Amino acid sequence: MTDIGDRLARVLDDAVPEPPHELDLTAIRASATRHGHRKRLLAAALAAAAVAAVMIGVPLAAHQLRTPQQPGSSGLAVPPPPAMFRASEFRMAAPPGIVIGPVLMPRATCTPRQISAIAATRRTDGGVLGVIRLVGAVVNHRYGVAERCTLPIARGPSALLGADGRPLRVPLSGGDRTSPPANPRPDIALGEGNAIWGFAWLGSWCGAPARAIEIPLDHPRHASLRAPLRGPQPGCEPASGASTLIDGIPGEPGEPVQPPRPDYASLRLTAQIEPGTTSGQLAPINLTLRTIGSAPVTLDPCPAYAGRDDATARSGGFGDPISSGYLPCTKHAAVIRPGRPLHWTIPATSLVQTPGTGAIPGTTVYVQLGIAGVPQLHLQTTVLR
Amino acid sequence: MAASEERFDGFVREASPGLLRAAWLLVGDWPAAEDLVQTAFERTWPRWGRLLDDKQRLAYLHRVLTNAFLRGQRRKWIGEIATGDLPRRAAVDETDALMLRASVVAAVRRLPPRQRAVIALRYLADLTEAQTAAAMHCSTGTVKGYSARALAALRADPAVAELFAEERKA
Repeated sequence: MTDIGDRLARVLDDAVPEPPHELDLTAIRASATRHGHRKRLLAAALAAAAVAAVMIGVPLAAHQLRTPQQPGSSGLAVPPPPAMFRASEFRMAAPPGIVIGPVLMPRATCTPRQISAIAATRRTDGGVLGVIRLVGAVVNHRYGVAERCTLPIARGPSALLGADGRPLRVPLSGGDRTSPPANPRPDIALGEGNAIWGFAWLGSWCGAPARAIEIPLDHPRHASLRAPLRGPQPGCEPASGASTLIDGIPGEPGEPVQPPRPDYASLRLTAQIEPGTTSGQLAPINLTLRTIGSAPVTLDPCPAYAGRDDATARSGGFGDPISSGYLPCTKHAAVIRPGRPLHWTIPATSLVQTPGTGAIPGTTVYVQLGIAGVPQLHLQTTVLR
Repeated sequence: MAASEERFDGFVREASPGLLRAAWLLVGDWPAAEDLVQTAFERTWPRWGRLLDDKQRLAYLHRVLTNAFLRGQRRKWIGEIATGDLPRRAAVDETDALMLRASVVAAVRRLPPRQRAVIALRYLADLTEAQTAAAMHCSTGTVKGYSARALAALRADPAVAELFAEERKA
């Protein structure tokens, strides 16, 4: 390499930042497997078609193509995300906790022409889940980092649009307001011009297909933005109920942005914790999620749970997050049937354990656990020593 | 998990930071860079068993990544709006260095896609001319041609004049 080549290599090495986070291995493997599965399916179909042509005709090939994918042992297989989207974006965040973070520096507001928007869906039980990717144009460079304009978006999708650009007769629902999901700082994602917004389209749809989805803009001259929509759409299955567009939440790319399904309202969370705990060692919590309804509930989007404890410590009263994560349904959607609850244990850890600031023996630790769409759960235990 | 899947996961963890940085230089933002690298890994996985060692796997990944980038450029459905609005120069040395880095990245982004790919593969991913040629499905002569044209374009760019200042003095 020449001197100038060396210098260019050094400058580039300094200029190109380190990746902000690791790739989603699950999404890579799921998508790669899907490619492989498609190839195998095609090979099987071609072989079957060849046999069929000689032996018994086309019906055999059709049978091969209809062979369903076997669900996993713990429930229904969750479909892989569409290209350009991540599996985590089709999950559901936990209810909000206390969030602090950086102050957002003001930037230029995007005009509609400066916003790239695309929406994609994947199937779920009784409809589809969707994500809208919104990216503002680069309007500045600061210290080698591209700065995008701020997305003037304060509300989620408002309507599905047909090929003629007119709204389809699919009513919009704000979703269940019981303990709604929230990402930590969606204002940063929108402010930095790189955000996603989730939605669900559930129920039977017998009308014309949707070609775009409309997002209202908080802009003095432009009312809305239209994102082209690709992917599956709900079928004409009257048993699935009326078609509804449900508004999700905003987030950074990769964050869970789905709304709770309406049938999550029939879910109830209960838990068990030891009545006494050692200062600094909050015991694991055994959770049970059951339905009080008469129909099974499919946990797709997979919900996240989040816990928090409040205790009196030597350094004063304080609260800390104790544990968070997804329910056991990220690869296979658990189905909760009446009388057959889902049980799992979360390892509870707490900053109550911080040396020198442990909770005072004899005091009560209050534990709050939340899953979006499900009434919050309150537990308490006593610090023994 | 099968042993091959574990090896693949380990390889993804090891190789992805370098690939992500090269992809970032090519496409300009992390989500697009992650998509590009994710696509490269997805397309590499079906051939995993036929690639003998990590050297071959990395070469194949670079080839897929470059192809995906160039194909994406051909059928780009909406373009990023480029801007010449770079930070103003300041007298502090460190700021000058940051300015130069920002200017070089912006200048590389202004190059045509194939020239940009050569710069990313040769000077950031540190591939040889032969490896770059293999990644781009072309001859080493073509790589040399793209490289020469890219460097000439950078030399002619006043925003990165400082990069070539010592060369001019010599």
